[in-house]
Amino acid sequence: MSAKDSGSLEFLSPSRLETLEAVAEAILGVPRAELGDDFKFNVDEYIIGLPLHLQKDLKRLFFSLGSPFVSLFFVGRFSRFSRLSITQRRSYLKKWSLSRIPLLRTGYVALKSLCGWGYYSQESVHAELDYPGPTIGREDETPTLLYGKQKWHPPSSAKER
Amino acid sequence: MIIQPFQLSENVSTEADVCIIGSGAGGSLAASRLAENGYSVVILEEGPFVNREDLNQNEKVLLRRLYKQQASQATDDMSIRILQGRVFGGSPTINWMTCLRTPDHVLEEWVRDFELEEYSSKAMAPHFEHIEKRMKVHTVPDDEHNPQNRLILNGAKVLGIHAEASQNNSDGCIGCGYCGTGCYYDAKQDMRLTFLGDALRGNTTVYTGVRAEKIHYHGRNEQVVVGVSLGSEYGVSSRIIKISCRRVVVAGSAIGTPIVLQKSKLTRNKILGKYLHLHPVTIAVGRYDHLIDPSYGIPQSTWSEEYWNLNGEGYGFWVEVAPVQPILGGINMPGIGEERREIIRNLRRLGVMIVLVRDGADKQSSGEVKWTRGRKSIRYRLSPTDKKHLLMGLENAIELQFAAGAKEVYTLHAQFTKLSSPNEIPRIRNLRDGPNELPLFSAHPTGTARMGTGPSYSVVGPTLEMHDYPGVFIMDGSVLPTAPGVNPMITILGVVSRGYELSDNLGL
Repeated sequence: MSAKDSGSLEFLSPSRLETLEAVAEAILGVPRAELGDDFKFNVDEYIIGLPLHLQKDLKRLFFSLGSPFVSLFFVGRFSRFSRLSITQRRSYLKKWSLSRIPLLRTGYVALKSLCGWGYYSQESVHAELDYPGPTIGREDETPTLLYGKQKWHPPSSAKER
Repeated sequence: MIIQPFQLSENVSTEADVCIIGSGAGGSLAASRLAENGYSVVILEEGPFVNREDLNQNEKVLLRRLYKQQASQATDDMSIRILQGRVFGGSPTINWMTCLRTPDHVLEEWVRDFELEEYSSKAMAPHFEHIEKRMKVHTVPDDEHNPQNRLILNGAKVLGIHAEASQNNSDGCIGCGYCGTGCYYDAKQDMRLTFLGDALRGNTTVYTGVRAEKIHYHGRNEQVVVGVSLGSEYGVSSRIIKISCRRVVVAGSAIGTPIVLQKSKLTRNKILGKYLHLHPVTIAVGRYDHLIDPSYGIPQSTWSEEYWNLNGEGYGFWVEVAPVQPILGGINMPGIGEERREIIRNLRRLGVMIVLVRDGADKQSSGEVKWTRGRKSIRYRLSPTDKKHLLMGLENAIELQFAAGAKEVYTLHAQFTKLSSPNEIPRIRNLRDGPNELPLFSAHPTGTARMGTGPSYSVVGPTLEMHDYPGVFIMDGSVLPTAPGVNPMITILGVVSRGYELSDNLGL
């Protein structure tokens, strides 16, 4: 479990978090329960670091997604986005991504970026990708030019450089 | 001397011969020349100071810390993600090291269409030579190409088109692949280790974490630059920094420079902010049966410029590769749901080719940077010919991938597209490719304050001094009259070096 708790989230209110996780499951193909302990914190921290006008845009985006009326329009069901089935959510988001309305496509791209950031910035995901990770201290073990040769040693002083 | 926000206990008011806004390629080179000639310089850099130990390969931390807007900067409609450094040393701190000289046909265009005889190939050659020597630019040896860069060489050989090794600015590179988050090994000869370092050996002070807000222009020899330290990013109070100076050098990039000039109302010239060029990029992702490991090795060491000149006027596209680590891969890969997850799971077997378009073929302003209603606005639309070149480039990159042995190739179209053979390429011609229907990228913004001899079509003259505001110089990628058609770092440095020489120490 992460040491942090959901109460420390600044942007992601409980309803926004519910929406975000439902979106992430649909876009990333990762079940909600497997999104990882840090997913929500990564997204929240990222959003808080954006300029205020973009944070406002994201508030509007989450509001639209949470509206049952919008769901009714896109998948014919009067329901919050998070209560739609995974198939309905995916269909809804695909409609946004392929929409003739530019703003909806922009909304989709924003959601895809946030979800991708939240999930793939967790080190725990490296195993899923079989990703060897950073090279520092492991220069001879990772696919660098030193692979299988010798470790890199930092110069002991600036003078040596 | 380097001063960080947490070292500021009160507001600062100081004097210098020159205040430089931005510590990227242009600002660093200008600072080094001024310092060598004995002038006092203050540099304001919005991004943080970093040294080797800070560049610890933590993608999550460093993308947020070292990139403009946490690597999310984009056009207003988010259809083109624009990656730029926001760090001590600017974008060269986080670029992929590719060092290519401005092609002769581009310099000839500047001479012909912008009356810039001073920037001919012959005049520029000694500047390029000096810069390349200082930055240890060399052609990457054949035994140092990683598998991903070899895809270009191998694919081009099969297709019978030209591809070759490119040059980079490294010394002792071990090919860790993390150039995009700064070089932990101090192998990349970026500004910190070259021109900015040279400047700091003279009478130069760099304030990092300080955003230049306004230039108060009182005449050629009397100007005041006001900056604000970004205290909240450092957990300290913000301070105001005022620099009284005789000259200002604006070097905040093709996006930052027009913004600070517009905020300062130095806007007599109506084309300021216009003619933004981006070298728009699209991507073909190949999946291979064997390990490619696109995250490791020298990120860019080969390129194919076979289709550089498609319209007979030097406009076309070229192909390079892009390193992919988990976050940028996880954000940008195509598809939705399990199909998407499966592509990213194959990260180590992906080869990512990028198509870069030399935009501006239709000689019109495709993009504009504007400070409006208290926010930055970046608008851009591909012109018809540039769009045609982009799509031709995408087809070429797909062909290269298959020729190099890819089993499948994906494009980034919103309509998920997976090709199993080159025979399927015609399918992509029917796909919608408008904004966010085919997401684009850029790491090469230029233009917006272009150079020329007349104020009706340019913002600065050959000395890089603004036509309308003597004493204010612009020394970054924004002054390039047209897109350089190669990764722009060497072009920016060369132009600033030549402009500085022509200005005779900024007329001081």
